[in-house]
Amino acid sequence: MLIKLFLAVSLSLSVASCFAESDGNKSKSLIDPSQQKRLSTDSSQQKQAAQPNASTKSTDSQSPQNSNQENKPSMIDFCRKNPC
Amino acid sequence: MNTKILRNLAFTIFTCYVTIAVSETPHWSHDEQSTWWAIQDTTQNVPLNYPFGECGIGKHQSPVDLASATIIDSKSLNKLAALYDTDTAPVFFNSGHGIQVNTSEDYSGVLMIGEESFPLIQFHFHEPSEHVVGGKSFPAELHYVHINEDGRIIVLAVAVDIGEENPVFGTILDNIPHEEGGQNASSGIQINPAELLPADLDPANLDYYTVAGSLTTPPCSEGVQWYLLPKVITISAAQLVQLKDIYTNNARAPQNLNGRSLLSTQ
Repeated sequence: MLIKLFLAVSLSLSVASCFAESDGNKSKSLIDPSQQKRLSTDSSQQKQAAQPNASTKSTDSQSPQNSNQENKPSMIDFCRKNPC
Repeated sequence: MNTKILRNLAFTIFTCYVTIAVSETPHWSHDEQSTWWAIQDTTQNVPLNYPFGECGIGKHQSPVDLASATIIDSKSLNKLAALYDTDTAPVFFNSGHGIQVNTSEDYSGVLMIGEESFPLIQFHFHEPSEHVVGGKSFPAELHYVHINEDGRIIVLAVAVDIGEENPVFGTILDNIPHEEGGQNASSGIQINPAELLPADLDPANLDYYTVAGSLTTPPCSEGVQWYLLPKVITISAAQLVQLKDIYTNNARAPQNLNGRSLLSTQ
């Protein structure tokens, strides 16, 4: 009887510690799910990889500036001297 | 002979003055951010005499309120990998606007977006956060700034909350010069920027939100692509106080989305 009781308590503690550990390792989320305005559109219509170098401008796509090679040293130098 | 020397000396001084006047950006501060666009550069003619005009007229400005944006999670997005290794000679820099760590010239850490590689140039902190959620800011925000060979800028942003002490952030605080423009290039300290990323995210395959935006400081140039991590990191309350002792309120207010949406991997 005592052995059964001991095993039951051990199992409970073990399960509890597992849950505690998994919670502790998780970082807080940036945006709470209740604050997210999601738009799940038809994936077949929008199945297009978002490229960081996309040349077309779009309000919801990734559209970095087109720059030429001359920007390289000056922009790197600028961002080392300024927050950017 | 003396006249010639004096003439050469005068020419040299004049050339130095013009070079400095042209290359230096006009002074600005976060206190006057609502009028950054109106700051004049008196060394330039119209329209270049308003070097920060984009801060006022830009339509894709950063930061933004993330809760105001529609999140699109149905698109297939590029894989994002922060392949940061240890920098053996980082430069701790007080930019006059915040605390910053410049990577060394031969640093090889990169952000991979799909197959494209963007070298990490520097990372810096804002207090409080610049991106907000439903009008609420986080205590601070970390920005990793990457620039590729084409001059394209990618910023990886991580919100900072109060919690457990952060040893890497502590090292940065302890080595940042307190005088504006001060640089500490010979600390002998090694930093791995990856150690500042959220511990429960895989650096080789990061989930993210992304939005087109701008630099959050003058000249507010657009064409910057922002990647925002969905998890936060922590620093202790004491570390936040230490950060505020050096810089406080160095965050730009949220800007109008103007129709932009957030793309999300999750």
